[in-house]
Amino acid sequence: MALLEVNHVQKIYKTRFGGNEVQALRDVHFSVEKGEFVAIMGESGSGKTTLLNIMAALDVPTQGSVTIDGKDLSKMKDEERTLYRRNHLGFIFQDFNLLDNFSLEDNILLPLVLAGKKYDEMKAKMMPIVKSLGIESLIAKYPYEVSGGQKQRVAIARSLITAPKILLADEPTGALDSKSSTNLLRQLRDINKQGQTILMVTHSNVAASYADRVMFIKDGEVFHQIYKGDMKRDEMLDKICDAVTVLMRGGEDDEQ
Amino acid sequence: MNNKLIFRLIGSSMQKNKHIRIPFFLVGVFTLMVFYMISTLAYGDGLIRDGAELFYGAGYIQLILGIGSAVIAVVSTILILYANIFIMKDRRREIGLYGILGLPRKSIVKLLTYEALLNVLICLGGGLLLGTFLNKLMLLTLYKLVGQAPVMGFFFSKSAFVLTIALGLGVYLVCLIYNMLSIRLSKPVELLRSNQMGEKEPKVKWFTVISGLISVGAGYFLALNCKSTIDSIGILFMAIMLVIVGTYELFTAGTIAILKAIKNNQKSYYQTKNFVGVANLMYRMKHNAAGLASICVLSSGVILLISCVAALVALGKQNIDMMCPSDVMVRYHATDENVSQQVSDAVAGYSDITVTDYQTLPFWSTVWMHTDDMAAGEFEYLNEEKKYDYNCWIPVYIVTEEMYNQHAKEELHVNTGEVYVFDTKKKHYEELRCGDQNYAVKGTLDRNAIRSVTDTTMTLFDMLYVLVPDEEAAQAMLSADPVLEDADANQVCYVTSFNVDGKLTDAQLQEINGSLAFLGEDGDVKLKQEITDFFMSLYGGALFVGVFMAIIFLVATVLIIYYKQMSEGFEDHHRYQILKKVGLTETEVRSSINRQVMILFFLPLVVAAVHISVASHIIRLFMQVIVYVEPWTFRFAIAGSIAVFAMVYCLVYKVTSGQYYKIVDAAEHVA
Repeated sequence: MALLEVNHVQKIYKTRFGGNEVQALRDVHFSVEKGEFVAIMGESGSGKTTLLNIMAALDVPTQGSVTIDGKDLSKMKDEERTLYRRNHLGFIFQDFNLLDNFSLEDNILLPLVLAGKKYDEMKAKMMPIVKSLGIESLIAKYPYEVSGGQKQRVAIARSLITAPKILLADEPTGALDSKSSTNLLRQLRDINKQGQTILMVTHSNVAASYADRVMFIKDGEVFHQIYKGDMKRDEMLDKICDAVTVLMRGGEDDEQ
Repeated sequence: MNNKLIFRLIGSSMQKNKHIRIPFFLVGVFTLMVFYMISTLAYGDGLIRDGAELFYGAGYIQLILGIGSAVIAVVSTILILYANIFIMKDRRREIGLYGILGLPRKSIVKLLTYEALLNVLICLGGGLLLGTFLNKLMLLTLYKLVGQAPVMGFFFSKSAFVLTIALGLGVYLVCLIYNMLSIRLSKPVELLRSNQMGEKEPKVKWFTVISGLISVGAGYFLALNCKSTIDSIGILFMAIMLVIVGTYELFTAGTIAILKAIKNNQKSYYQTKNFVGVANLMYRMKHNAAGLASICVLSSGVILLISCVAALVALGKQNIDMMCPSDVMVRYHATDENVSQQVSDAVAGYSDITVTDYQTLPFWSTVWMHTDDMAAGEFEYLNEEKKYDYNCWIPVYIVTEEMYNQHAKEELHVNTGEVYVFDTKKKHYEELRCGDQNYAVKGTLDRNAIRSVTDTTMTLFDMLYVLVPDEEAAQAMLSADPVLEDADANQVCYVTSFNVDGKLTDAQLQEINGSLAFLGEDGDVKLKQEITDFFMSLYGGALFVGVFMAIIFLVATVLIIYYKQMSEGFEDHHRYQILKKVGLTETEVRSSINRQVMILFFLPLVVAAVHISVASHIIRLFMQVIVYVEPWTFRFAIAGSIAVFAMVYCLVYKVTSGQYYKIVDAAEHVA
């Protein structure tokens, strides 16, 4: 059985007063195996953020279901879902979402503190992670004292500290310059090589080219998929670019 | 840029920020209304008409109200400015956005000016209108309080009206100038970003912590160790200042020191319930310590005012009875008994006044001194060196055995060299010594029987009442004093007291005063009825001013709390959104917010209650400058005031924390 199964998910938003309906996801169906690194691509408005929110247990689908390790997220209660998210999922956000009144160390430890773990135990879990991310010299500092790339690495450390089943990344390179982006993506790939399942939402072709598989979403449906297989990264990038071009041309045709 | 657009901008901005703007208007209307009401009483003809007091003591009330109106003017200025600064802070982004969208600076200035005009119009108009309606009501209440017959007609004072307008215009002009300067000094992009900068964790300022501890400690020490009313006059102000300074210092630095200590303790810091709270509180304290300290000081002020007023009202009658045990009291000096006879003749000559309980009590009085390092029962004569050290003054009243027994209906007997005493310090001793005189103390006499000998101008001091065998013994006791002239030592004082039936008319009061006028400088005539009228109007005035001040302070407290909650809500919104994304459950968010808000909210109240409890002793002593304050009544008054205040405070907490939670928990917010 796959680690993550998204079964015919449909999401409809109603505007206030029950007027117009907006269909964000029409029928999304796919699964992710353990240890995979999947990128989801799509333009703004394609529904990829909605999809991520549903997979992250932040939102519930109107129809269909999402199961992780055989557990159906959409059947959980609010409180239960929050706890599941805290204990089994890791997040990286475009704008880092670090708390500016905590030191970097405290930011990383946050999910464990919320889970009520002991300090020594937390510290023991944190050290190998910050070492592998190369930020162990920074952890006493505060978010405003470090660069964007470093902040994002702290966010990765925070997401990994609970040993999550899936790491969900929402435009992780969106606020970074190209050098920091490259470093970050390499790190994500390394983490993936160690067995971590990663699901990344992005609209950057370069970022997507680091993944094993790229899924294209358009108008609320999975439109196309590319598997990396034995391809080199630049070949993968070419393929992604081609696919994006096709995707965009299709859009132009629609308008005519 | 046309005016229509500017008005539209003003309108929409007011609508969008109504949760901030409405309190701003309310405070403006309210403070100006109170100022207008108080000054109408102080400067109008409700108390003094055509140079004559409408009722006895009206002049004093007017004086107190005059001072009160000045204080209210200052408080309302500060309050409105504070509210204005708060609003401007919140609006910087909005105004920055106007700049970026291309609204020229000239138009922004125009917008601010129109807005200021609107503020003046609403607040001043509202305040004057409401004030005019409530003025009459207030005057009638006051008349009822002091027993004056109500008058018909409209109650209006031109000078109060003008003063209120001047105050309103002045305050909003200062606000306008502040607003203009604050946008003039910054660039649009900075305005837009102004509340998104990262900031450092606050450092512990150990010097401030220590200085705060010392200040509060010293203030408490002074307050608790104050022994007498005389001391309290000098000490009270200093103690209050020390405690206020210390409170500000401890709120700013002390709280952070405590939070840091918690943070440095890994065991307690890394616990779910402390983790989020400690870090948040630390930043909140950095921003809000001064505001919280102000709330604390203001709350103390409110509680103090309410308790003083309550104690005054509760103790009014008791005080008058103490000051004037009989309806009429006449004190005079005389070297022979002739004067005594004249007084008795004058009283016997009253045509339609029924005199009862007529008594004359001869006594001798002097002043000795007693310092803390002297043993109980040991006194000294006043010497040149200590003459003006009122702290050690002990007025002494000496009566003979015969006169005491006659008044007290007792059968006490003493031989030469023996005395009965009553020491208001309530100390008991076997031996009374002064200079080289020695007396054996046989027991305690009943002061109430001879209370009338007490000089009411000397009630601040501890007193000594002595019973001696006869006149010679009394004179011997005085003439041993090297400072006293023999003539003074031999001078006998008399106090004649009697009661009358029913309430005296003005004519009768005049008749009594006139019949005793022959005593001249040597005599002192006290009519209980006059004193009662005087004190009732004094209490009435104090009550009035006290209640108004308490309300103003309370409004100030509530406003600061409300704005504080608002601004913190906006700051915390972002933080809690992140925490929720990372996996803080709804219940955890709620309990964490509750804990913090409770701490922030009730810290000032608890500190204020402690301050007041510590201060109660010295305040009571200080109040004795005006009236005697019975300790237990005062303690009850304080406890009651704290309870009432705490109730109001909790109510405000309930309302504002609801608002706060709404802001923090809002799914998406404009900021």
